[in-house]
Amino acid sequence: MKKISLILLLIGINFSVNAQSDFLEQKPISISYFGHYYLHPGLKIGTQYDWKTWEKRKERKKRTIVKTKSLFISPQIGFYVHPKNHAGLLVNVDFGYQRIKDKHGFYQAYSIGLGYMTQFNSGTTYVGESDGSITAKKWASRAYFMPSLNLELGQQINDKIGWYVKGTLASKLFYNTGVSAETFLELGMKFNLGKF
Amino acid sequence: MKLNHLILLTFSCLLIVACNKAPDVSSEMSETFYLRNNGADMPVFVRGNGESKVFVLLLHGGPGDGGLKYRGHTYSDLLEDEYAMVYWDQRHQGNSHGHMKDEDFTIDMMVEDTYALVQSLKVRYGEDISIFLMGHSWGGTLGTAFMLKDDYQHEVNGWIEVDGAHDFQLMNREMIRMINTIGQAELDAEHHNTLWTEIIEYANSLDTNNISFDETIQLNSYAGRIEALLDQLNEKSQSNLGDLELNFTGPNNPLAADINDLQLPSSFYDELINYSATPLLHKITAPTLLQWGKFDFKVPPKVGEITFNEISSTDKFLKIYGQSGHSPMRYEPALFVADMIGFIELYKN
Repeated sequence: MKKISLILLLIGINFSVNAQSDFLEQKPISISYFGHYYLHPGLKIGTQYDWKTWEKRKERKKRTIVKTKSLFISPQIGFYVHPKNHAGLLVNVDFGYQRIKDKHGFYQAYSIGLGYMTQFNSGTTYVGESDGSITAKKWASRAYFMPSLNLELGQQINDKIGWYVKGTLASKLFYNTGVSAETFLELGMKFNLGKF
Repeated sequence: MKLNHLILLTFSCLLIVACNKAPDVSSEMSETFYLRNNGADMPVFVRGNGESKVFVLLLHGGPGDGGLKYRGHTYSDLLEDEYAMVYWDQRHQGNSHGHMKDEDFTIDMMVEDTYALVQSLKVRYGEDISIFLMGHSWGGTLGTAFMLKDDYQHEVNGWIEVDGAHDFQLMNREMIRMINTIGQAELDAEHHNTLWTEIIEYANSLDTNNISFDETIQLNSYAGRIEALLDQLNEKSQSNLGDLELNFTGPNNPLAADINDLQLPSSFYDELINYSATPLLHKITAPTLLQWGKFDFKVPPKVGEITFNEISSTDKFLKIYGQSGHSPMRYEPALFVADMIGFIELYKN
């Protein structure tokens, strides 16, 4: 039942993306490989809203260096599988600062994320009930708040497309009696759908 | 295909990959399920020969080691050829997760987890399976506590204790005695004089009637170093799994396990240092195999001998391995496994 709910949720997100196409046409869509501990594979999609943008120019003898800086908000949803261990579904919002060199489009971004991670146990979960009996449950999960620190490097190749690499250090909160330590690696592309 | 459809298709594929399957009871089992009990979700990795219908539930050491640290060795490969090995991450250890408070991490709570896992194995694989508990080091503490509670010992076919630390004060006293005996012989032979002198002086500075947990940790650390000094020990076998599988691509997540280990509640250690099962060992009547390394300074073989004498079981065996330290299954794997198989074959269904 929970599996069906999850699929419905994803379909809902899909339709929601369609319904809001007017909005998204003005925003980049990012799609990336989402690796938990680098090699537990997954997929992440997101978008980015530049809350405040400003330009900085530096005059050199032969040329002028122009850097565009911005403060951004980036909502994302990601999913990964650690085979024979668990699967994770992450809903997350990054708040960050981005700096782009206008000449080649290379950029770096630093952000703080606030996320909500649902961890699905692999296989069946056997639950010890208060009367001593055991019941089997499929798609058992637990949810954790997960703040994160992110460093992103990338390039806006042209006004339609770009690539990026993003490293994340995160921690699930109220995990056992304390916290966890998580690392993620993203390798992705950004598309400005309105320009296609 | 539209981009949104592609995203949906990819998510669906990932979901199918992560889907549940029916129990795999083959000669080469490889499956994961979870136990949820009192706030903890604990992974259970079952590997090996399920057709045997014999399940060896391994209670890992540490506390904090995690079940899969015991996999990938010569002895575990040999055991997996014969039986289904159940590598379980106890609560707050290995890759276990959940929401709990310090007071949820007690020996009794883990005994209840063990009981729930035994019942879960029967639900999953059938009431006709044979279950043997095998506890190493701290796992020996947990397994002994399980065998002593209510009539839990009748839920399993047998108990295999490997260098089990079920009486910390006794263990520490015997460790100091062993340090003085063997240490003096090593000094007389002029082997590693500087380190042996340091260890003997430290051991003799302790009040043997009241050894604290910090002092136990220091003794334990010396005991580990001693194993590297002794010529009498065989070479200790190492994991045959590659670094990539151990650290990244395998089902274990070593970073998560290490972080869990670092955060074990101090209240648990206070309980552990005062734990003594020796006065209650007479309650054990189930078939029991005790396997001990002769040169185990962490949990000296004298603890195994006392256990052998105290338990009431008429089906009891004590095996001391002459070229072994704290993990005889890694020092003398062939002999260790042969003894274990002999015991299991006697008492399986």
